[in-house]
Amino acid sequence: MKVSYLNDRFFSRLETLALNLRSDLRGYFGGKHLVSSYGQTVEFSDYREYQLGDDIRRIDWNLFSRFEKYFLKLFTDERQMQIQIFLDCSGSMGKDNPKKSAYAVATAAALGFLSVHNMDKVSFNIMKDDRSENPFGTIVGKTSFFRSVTQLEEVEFTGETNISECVKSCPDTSSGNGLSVIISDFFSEDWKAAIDYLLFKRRQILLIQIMTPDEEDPTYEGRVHLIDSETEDISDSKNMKIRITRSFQVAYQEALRDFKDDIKNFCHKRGVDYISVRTDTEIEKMLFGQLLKVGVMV
Amino acid sequence: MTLLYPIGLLGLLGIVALIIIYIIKPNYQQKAVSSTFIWKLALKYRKRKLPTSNLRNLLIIICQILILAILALVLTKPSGIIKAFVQDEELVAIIDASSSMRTLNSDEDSRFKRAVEKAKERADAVFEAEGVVTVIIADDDPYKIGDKIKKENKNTLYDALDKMVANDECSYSVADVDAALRMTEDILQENPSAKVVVFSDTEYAFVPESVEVVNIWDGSEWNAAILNATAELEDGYYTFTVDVACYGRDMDLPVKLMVYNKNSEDKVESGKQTVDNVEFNLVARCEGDARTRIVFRNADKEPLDYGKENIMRYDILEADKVHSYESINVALVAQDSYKEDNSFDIYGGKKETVNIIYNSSKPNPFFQGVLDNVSNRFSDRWDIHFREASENSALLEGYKPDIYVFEHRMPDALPRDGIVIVCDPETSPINSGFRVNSYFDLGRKSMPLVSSYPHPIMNNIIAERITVSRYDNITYLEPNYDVLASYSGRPVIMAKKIEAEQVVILGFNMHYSNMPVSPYFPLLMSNIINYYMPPTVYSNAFEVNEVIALNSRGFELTVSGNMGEKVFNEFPATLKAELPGTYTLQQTTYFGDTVTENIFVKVPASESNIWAEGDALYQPKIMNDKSVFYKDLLLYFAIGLVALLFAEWWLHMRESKI
Repeated sequence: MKVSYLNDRFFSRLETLALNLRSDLRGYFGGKHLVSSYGQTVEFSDYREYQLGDDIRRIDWNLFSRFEKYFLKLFTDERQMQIQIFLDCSGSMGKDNPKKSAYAVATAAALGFLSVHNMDKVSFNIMKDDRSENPFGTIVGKTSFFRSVTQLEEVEFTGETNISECVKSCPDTSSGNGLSVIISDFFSEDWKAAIDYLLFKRRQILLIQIMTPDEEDPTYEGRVHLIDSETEDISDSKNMKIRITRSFQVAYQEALRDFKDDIKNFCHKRGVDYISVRTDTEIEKMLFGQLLKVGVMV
Repeated sequence: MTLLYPIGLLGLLGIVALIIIYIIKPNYQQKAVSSTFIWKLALKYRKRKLPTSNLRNLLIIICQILILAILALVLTKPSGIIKAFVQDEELVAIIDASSSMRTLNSDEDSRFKRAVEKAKERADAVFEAEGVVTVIIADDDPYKIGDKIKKENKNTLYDALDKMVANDECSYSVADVDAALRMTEDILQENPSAKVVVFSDTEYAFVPESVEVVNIWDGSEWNAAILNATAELEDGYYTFTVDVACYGRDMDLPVKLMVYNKNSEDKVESGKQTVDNVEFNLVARCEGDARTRIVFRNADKEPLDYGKENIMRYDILEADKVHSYESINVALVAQDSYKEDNSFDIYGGKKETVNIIYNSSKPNPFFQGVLDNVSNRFSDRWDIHFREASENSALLEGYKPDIYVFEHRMPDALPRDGIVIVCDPETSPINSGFRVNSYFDLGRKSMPLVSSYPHPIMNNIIAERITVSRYDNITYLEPNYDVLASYSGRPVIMAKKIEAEQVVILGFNMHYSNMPVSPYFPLLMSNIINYYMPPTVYSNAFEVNEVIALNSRGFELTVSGNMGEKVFNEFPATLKAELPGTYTLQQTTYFGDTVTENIFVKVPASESNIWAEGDALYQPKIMNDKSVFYKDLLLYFAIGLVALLFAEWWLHMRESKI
């Protein structure tokens, strides 16, 4: 059964929010994000001494009368950012659990909406196998956003995904011009290279890990043949036959906790924002709670 | 252990089914998960344990197999063998020990002796075959004289049987052969092939297949018998009825009836010389084993209606009339084979005298009337005489009262040599145990009394139907008195019976009560006499082994007879006379009088017919109840089953925890 969180009420609640991006990003002209570079806005930022070639119209004559030196008045700059949303569309994200994929799509749509709402450009990168696709192009404006979102809900979640390869193969990754969001369950080891690559591109990064309650706290036990949703063949090495006992469940919890801590430490060292959500958490709670808490939203 | 229903072992197929299930069941349940990534990481975190898992799994399977095996065994009804069926040669000899077995043949050997000999012959054959013999003596309460006696102990058994014959231990009562056959059921249950042989003198119309009857008859035997003899008062004189019969021979039977100490009162009162004993002789014709009734009756009586009965009459002449006697002996003059019924004694011909004296300041006819009534009522037991204290003292001379009735005027002290009935006492005698102070007058109202609790004196009397309009104010009553009826919580009728203190108090004036005209008055007097003067026995003739109820008016009662002497101290008592003959009952009453009575115990009339025929012998029931031989082991299997189920559950729990 198809699950969807996207409706008018959902988007109308997001209108009160905005993305809070780093000020050292460069972006493009015409946005709303204040950046550390100086621009032509009316908001005063600083003074500096006049240098040869500066526009003499920007000299502050009041200061000249006081110090008999030429100072230029500097103003802050506002930029338009490029928001890249990488959505993991592997089988593990929703082949057997439509709610997980719907949750991921809704999260991507919410961030996309916030972007276009703040006059940023947004692109949805569908990660599958070793490459990412951007079927909707760079979206500016709500009209094209909603058109894209309708199609985004139809995306199929199958196969495997190599996140690092997908990110590296993304064609429109320019340096320092916005936020990159990776939405995945990160059930692989290859995602770290993607982070390093994006950091190299000097982009602000947000990792959103989506997990189901079953993944957080598996309740099944006994002799179980676990079939990985990303596999096609039952004899695939990813599948495993195990006897799940109480102690094994404890071991699972420990492994999961260490796995999450590893992601968290990795991100923390690199200044990358990271949140992990369960699909039984209300999506508004995630947006207005966890994302606000990490400072990606204001 | 044995399996009563071995077909239940088919339940073991369940084990095969279990194994098949283990083989075909999917070992692993498929579960689709989004990713096995974390599970693979978790493998490194799993603690290393000892490889007990396989052992645990093996134990679980073993438990399950054992559970199924126990269930299958439960279906077979497992039982422990208590005792096994026996197929040995076995004889159960039932020897009839009824009184008729005392019949002698021409060689002067009793039937009992012959039965013993025949039983021994049959036993010898069994002993030769290395079998066992059980002998049951069937009298009215059968018992085993030997139980499963083997060859090596046969002399012990024979000695016991010979001793019975030598000591003449054959009973004088009837034989309960059916009860003896019931005793064989246990033996037949254990050994259905055991032979049951009844050595008896009774010809049975139906003999069960499993029983053999060996008849001990001898053609030379015959019996002349007195079946019964009674003496009845008829217009003040006795008529004697004697039933005789002759079994096995038709003959003219001489019958002699001897009356001892006839009419002894006449001799005392008139002083005339009278004949003490009188003898009546008659020859009775007895044919076809039929009973002949001989009636010894006064000659002036009208002829008897013979009807269809075989009745003969003997006319007693005027001079021989009998109105009292000490004892009567009826005897047959015959040399028959069975002697026990050739003589019969009748007692009860002399009634005990009861003197009643009525002492009243205002005599009324009520007591005289009621005592006349009671006198008639007890005429067969007591010779009741009534005197008033106001009569000529010459008449009272030598008159020793047994019952005193005091009305209104009381003596200084109540007598202690008889029963005292106090009515409407005006004063309190010093030893009376009560104090009276005037009376309560209810005016013109007659109020009913209230009964207190059941008491023999109040038998069949409804106290609520006795009314009084004036009753005595009893201010003190010693605890020995039982209050039989009261009004408004105050005692009105009281009684006590403490050895010689036997007092009844009627605490009201007869003129102020409906008692004199009530039917309860004679009933009350009868109850008083019955309570204080209970009959020692209710008859003078009993059969052997009949339970005889005994009572006494004194501390003890001595019974002497063929069985020796026996003293009874607690009453009512019972006596079981095992030997026929006359028994003498002697007691000293609480008032010091010595009372002697005789009873006659005879052999049962049915035993006189030495050619008796019985209807059907009891068929021993062999219960098809295997529980006699097997002990049910289901309980132990159930305990094992529960233990295994618990073990299996525990192993499962351990498996899921680890």
